[in-house]
Amino acid sequence: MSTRENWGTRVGLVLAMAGNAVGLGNFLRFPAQAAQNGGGAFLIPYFISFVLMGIPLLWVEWAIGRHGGQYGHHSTPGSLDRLGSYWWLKYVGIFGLFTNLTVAAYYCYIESWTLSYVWHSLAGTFQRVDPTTYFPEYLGVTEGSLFAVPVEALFWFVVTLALNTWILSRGIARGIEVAAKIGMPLLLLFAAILAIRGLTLGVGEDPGVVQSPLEGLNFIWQPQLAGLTNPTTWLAAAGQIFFTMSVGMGTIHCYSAYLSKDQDIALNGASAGWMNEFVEVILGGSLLIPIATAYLGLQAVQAATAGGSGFALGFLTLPSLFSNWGAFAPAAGALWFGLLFFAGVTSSLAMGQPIMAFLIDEFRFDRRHAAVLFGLTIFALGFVCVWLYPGGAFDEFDFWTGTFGLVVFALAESFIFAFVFGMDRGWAEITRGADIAVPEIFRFVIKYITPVFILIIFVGSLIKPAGDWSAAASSFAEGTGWPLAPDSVIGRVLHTGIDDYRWLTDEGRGTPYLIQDLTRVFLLLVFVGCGWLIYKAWELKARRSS
Amino acid sequence: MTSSAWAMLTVTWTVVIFFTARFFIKVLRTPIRPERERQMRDGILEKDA
Repeated sequence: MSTRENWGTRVGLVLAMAGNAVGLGNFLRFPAQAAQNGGGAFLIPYFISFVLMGIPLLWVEWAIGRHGGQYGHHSTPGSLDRLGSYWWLKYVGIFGLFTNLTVAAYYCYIESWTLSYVWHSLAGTFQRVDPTTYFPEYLGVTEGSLFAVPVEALFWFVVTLALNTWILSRGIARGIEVAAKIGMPLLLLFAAILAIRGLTLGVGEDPGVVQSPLEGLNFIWQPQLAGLTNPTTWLAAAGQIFFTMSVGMGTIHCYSAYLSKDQDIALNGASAGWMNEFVEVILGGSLLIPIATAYLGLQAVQAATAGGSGFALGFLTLPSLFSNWGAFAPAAGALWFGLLFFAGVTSSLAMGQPIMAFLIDEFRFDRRHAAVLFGLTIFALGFVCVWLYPGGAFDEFDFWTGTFGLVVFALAESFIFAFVFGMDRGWAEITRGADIAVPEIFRFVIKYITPVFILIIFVGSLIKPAGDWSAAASSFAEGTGWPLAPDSVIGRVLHTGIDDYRWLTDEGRGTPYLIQDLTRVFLLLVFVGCGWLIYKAWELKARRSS
Repeated sequence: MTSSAWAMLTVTWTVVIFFTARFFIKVLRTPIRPERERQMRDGILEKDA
């Protein structure tokens, strides 16, 4: 039977929403993106994107969610169905199920790395073993086979998933809200301790320090104004805002659906959004790169973040650098991976709740059975990522669901909100019960600017060039074609940049391309399966009402 | 750090801390409006029950 849950406190809701947005990317992706795309100048398009796309899209998703919640729907198929009378609206909500299922699968895996690394930091593993050799072994990359099961990684994945499932089974107020109220303050505390220690490292004063950490800070914040005229910088900034807000997933809709009709969404949304910015810009920008610069030097850090990601620095380099901190080393490692774990778990819980809500609302599951089914499904999906990580299954999940899927859904919902639901009703929904005055200009921004922003990101992801956008445009104008990047959507589909594309080796063994293509088929089947579930849910609803 | 980097950092941190604190303090100080269960139930009865 469907029972309506509620948030226990307003602070709990805002912390849970901020926890949903704050993820590993705040600490690992943002500093690398900023440093590689104009430094301080990156922050100008970044904040323009935040105001014109991030905040408006937050309000749109909060509004869609709260509106759907009034009709007993807490997941996107039902929320979107309520925006108009078209039969297909509920099927746009497939993304809110598909994305959360598949992203939760690989995200819980990353989360399990952080939990495992907390343990290994406290146990002193990284003072005995080099993390750069330990991590590939942990993932099973060095097993010599694409199909070997990494036992320890699987163990920590199961532990992490069990923890997520248990918290979800406790419900909104007693589970998710309590986790956010514990996790978010601890995350802030851990980050603050590490930032103060990291930024006060001195050359000649602390063992192993080769350069001032302020040089790393300078690397992030030095404004390179030439970047402002480069489309690559603008796309990178808009992309970072898009992914850091956790929009386009259906998680915000779900949390907001547990509000009543007249409860504020404008202030809550703005508060959660700015809290995410605080964690990302102030804390995220003060940890990874300054600490790594202090021990490795700026040149090595520049090389390590060249791809716009700080994952290698975070998991391979930082654990060994902490060993310079003497007796504090185990605690430092535990603080770093602990804060990443809290950032991860508050996000993965947000991915689980929409799935639970869909089962509870549409199929009349009770909460515990819904949690168990969620846990088992994520185990099945996540096992593909754990098992076939060396073959590239994990990357396929990340690209098609955690990157492309979000943009497609956000694009669709922004158009539906403005042009199907209608801006008059949409604006009334956003401003009803608002505890802050929402500037009237946002009515225009939400209707025209935000969808165009997302459309640009969408097209940018389709045809992302190899190298610079300006150079690609020149190449196109000269008639020599558009140099597609291998990680553009079209480039991925066409396997651009791969010379020896084949499924089997001469010995008849599977290649990574076989695994990648099979993973795509698998994801497509999951997508179709989500659509089928929505069809059955509405069939059941029609039968119940007749 | 160069003076332009310091300037960029100071301005950005000030803006972020100002808005984060302003909105969060307002959240802490503004009480929740009472829930209207009746309206929700009406909504369910209207189309989904």
